[in-house]
Amino acid sequence: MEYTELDDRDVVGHALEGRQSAFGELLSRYERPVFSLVVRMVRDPSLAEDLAQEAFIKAFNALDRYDPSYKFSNWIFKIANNLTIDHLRRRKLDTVSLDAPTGGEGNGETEGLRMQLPDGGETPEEYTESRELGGRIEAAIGHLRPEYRTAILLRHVEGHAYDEIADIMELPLGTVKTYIHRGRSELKELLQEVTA
Amino acid sequence: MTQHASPHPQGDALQAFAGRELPPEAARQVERHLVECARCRSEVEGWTLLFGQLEELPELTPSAAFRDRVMAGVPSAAPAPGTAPETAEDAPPGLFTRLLRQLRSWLPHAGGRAGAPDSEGPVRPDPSGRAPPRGGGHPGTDRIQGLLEGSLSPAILHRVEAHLDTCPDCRDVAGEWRPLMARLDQLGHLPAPAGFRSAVMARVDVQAVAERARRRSLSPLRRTLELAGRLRPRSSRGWLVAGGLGALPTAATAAAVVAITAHPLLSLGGIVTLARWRLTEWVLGSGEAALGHLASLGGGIAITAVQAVAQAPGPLAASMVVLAAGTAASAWVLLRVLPIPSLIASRHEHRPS
Repeated sequence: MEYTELDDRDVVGHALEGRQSAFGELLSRYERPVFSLVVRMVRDPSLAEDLAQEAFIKAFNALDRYDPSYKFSNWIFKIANNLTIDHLRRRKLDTVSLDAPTGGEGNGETEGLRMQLPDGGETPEEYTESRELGGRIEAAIGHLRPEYRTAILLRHVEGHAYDEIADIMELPLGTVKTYIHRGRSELKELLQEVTA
Repeated sequence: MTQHASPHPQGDALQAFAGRELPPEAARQVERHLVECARCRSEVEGWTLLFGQLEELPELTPSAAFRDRVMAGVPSAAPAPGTAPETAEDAPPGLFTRLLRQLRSWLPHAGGRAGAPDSEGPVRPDPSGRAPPRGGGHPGTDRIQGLLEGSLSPAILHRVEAHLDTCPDCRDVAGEWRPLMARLDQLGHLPAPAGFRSAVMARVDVQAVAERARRRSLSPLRRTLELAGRLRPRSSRGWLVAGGLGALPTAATAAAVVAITAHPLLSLGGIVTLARWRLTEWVLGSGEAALGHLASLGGGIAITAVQAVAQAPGPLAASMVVLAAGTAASAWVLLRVLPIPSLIASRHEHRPS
């Protein structure tokens, strides 16, 4: 069955009829966004893979309790974010340093994050500069408080509206706005420090 | 403490509501809360009054001496370049207004917070990242960010754009933010690791999810019937247990009636009367007179009904019919599932001739 024309709620409806292919469609739509959010939060691809998988498993096994009046994307991101924040609170992982970003070159993590940055038809010089700036932004995002990080990523990578982010993070709208504005201000300062 | 159906709005929501800066849905939530919460209503009224007074502050013209004293004492309050007069001859009505605007900008409200960490110096537009003053002044960095990401409401967008058209400083600030905002928007998704999908699906029980969803979609009656169907005995032994349990109350009641009425000194009416007395004593003894009378009355009605059933031939006969029907039904269940005929037959077959 072709699901590409259907919206998330309809695909969920097919999944609830026991069609495995519908689960596959939901995965194909959200595996990259969810994994991207989690890996940028925990800065560890292996751990992020486990957490993102756990989020999908939890969501899919509870799909019969999903409320169709709620956006599926908000639901899956909320589950993933809660799992990630819980993990970060338990482990209290160190934030990355701008001087030694994300574990260095040995584990390929930084490269893994950088290589996905779009080049957008830039010249080689612009591309190099863009990659460097992109890598610095990735590292600077890793330097933010987890709450700021989530809000910034949901806003800029996923394009969620402020009220959707408030819903996903289970925070008041004003708090989310403050997180995003302060997060951007910190990013600006961090990037200025690096380029200064 | 008064309990409200909705929680108190958090943070600066009441200020933002008074300033009509909340999104429609959030504003409706606050409105609903205000209907039931006098404290929040009072706070909103206070903010509305304050904002109204600030909007209506007149332009005043201070004396030159006043300006000199202020400028000597507040060197950091220098006006933004390009927008303020530098000489005493140019001074005029605008200085005091600017000070008032600065005062307004120190009022935190939704969209910006006092003490935000992006201070860039006193002469920059809205140096602390606070929200812009009402009725003019530089927009805050939150508004400039909102402009760049397209999240401002049309009214505020118009104001900020109009301001940027005339303010080179704010255009510079917007220019400083633009690269960061653009790069953030260009952050892409990362590919999920190989095997991600199969690892997830291996731990999802699709059929169990579908079955639970199907059950949830049923009406309560259908769900109850289905539950009863699932509890239905699957074997003769199960039916035997179920039938036995079903017959037990009927058998116990019949045995009690027989035992009571068979005793020469006891009658059902006498036992019921005794129970009525005991109940009344117990209830009155608890000290709750009103409850006692009520219980006595209720108990009296119930007991009278039992007495009537016990003593009148008609109701007694009806009760016995019901009891008999229950017993018969239980017996039917037992006979239907128990292999009694076959057992009897087999005994006959194995009896030595």
